[in-house]
Amino acid sequence: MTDRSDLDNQLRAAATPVTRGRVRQASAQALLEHIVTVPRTAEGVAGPAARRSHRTRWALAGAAAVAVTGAALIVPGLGGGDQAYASWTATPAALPSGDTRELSQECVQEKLQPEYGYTQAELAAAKMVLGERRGDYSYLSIATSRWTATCFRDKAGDVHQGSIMEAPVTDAALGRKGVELQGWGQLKTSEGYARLMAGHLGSAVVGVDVVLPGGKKVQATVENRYFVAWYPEAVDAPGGTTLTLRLADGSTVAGLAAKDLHDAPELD
Amino acid sequence: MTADPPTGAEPAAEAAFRALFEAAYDDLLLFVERRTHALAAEDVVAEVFLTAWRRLDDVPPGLDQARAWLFTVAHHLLRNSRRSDHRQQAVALRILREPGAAESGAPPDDVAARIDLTRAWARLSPGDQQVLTLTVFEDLTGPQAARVLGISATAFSLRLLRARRRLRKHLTAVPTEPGATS
Repeated sequence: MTDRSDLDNQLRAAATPVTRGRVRQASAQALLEHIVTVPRTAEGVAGPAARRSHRTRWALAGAAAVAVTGAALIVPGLGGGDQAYASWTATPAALPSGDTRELSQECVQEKLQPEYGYTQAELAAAKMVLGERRGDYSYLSIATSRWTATCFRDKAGDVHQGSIMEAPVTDAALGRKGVELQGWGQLKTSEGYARLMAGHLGSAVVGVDVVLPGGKKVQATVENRYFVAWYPEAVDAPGGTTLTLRLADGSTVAGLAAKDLHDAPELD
Repeated sequence: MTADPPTGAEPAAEAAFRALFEAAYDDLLLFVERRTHALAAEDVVAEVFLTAWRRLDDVPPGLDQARAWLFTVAHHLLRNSRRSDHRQQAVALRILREPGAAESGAPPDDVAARIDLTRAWARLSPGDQQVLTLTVFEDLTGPQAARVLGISATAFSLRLLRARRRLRKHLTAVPTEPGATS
């Protein structure tokens, strides 16, 4: 299997050589001098829709959500009793480094490499591998510069691949208060459905709370500008989940609809 | 006829535009050249920059985002141009050079690999070439590339995955032709 970064490098090496410095040519400079004499009042021609909001929301983000098929036979709960995911907790615990390494390597080997060509070398060079434990369950995200993926270990020990996303936005694009929801998919295990999320944060974001419809809060695991969280969620659960970002200065950015973030990151 | 005196904001706008032009001209010209006839490329680039000048308030700050905005305008112009010409078909991208004289001193294995890659690339659909080009050659993020194409980032991510998969599949399926490297 050809490593994806190798493939990209091979493509670049095979490309027609690029001529640089054409902006210095007389025709380009003449164009520049002409354009700046044109009145700027005329309406523009075809182009991106004008963005009138105070905030530039350029990009769209998303993830390849896990395909959801079949009916949920078990109604997920939010911890307690005999419900599915009974040991799940709204507050996460850290995933020990050994478990993080094991789950990420298994996930690449069993799921990500066969399906998408992602490699152990890319995992080893990942920008972040962030894991958490909630009850009997382990969950983590792998963020490389080219792709992100989430992996889940159920209480039986089986590894599941969650979302994947290619070509994430850069740190710079997220600024201080931005957020890109890189994973937002439902996963089905033997206990029913769960909502897995993962994301990339602006530099000033130190905490993330997930607010479910009805008001229950799920605290995300946050480290070095990345976050992960998950919770049991019925396949037909109502929408309305939001994120609240907690910033280093003590302020918060609340009411960020997860559904909207799935379509477009908040860029600062 | 005399021109209106410039407002206070105009010198700053002109300076910003000049900076954008200087920084992005080469990349935009290359973007357009890959997608249309070379003779028409400069006209398209001129129209894109004129649009940027007139809509400078809409151009996002930062070269990275501004460059993606220019690409989006160019993509729309090229698409509209093709529609007006009643040529609806997608255009294969001119990206990879044919292996040839430039590789005359290269090891045979390298030349063979280049030939395989060029053939595999040629077997991709224009759509697959497009998504790979936007990310691999034009260094756009997924959301930026999705915006250029007018699709959701989720859809773009899936298209990119599938395009990579098909390219790898074509690479492994390229038949070895005896003497291809000679």
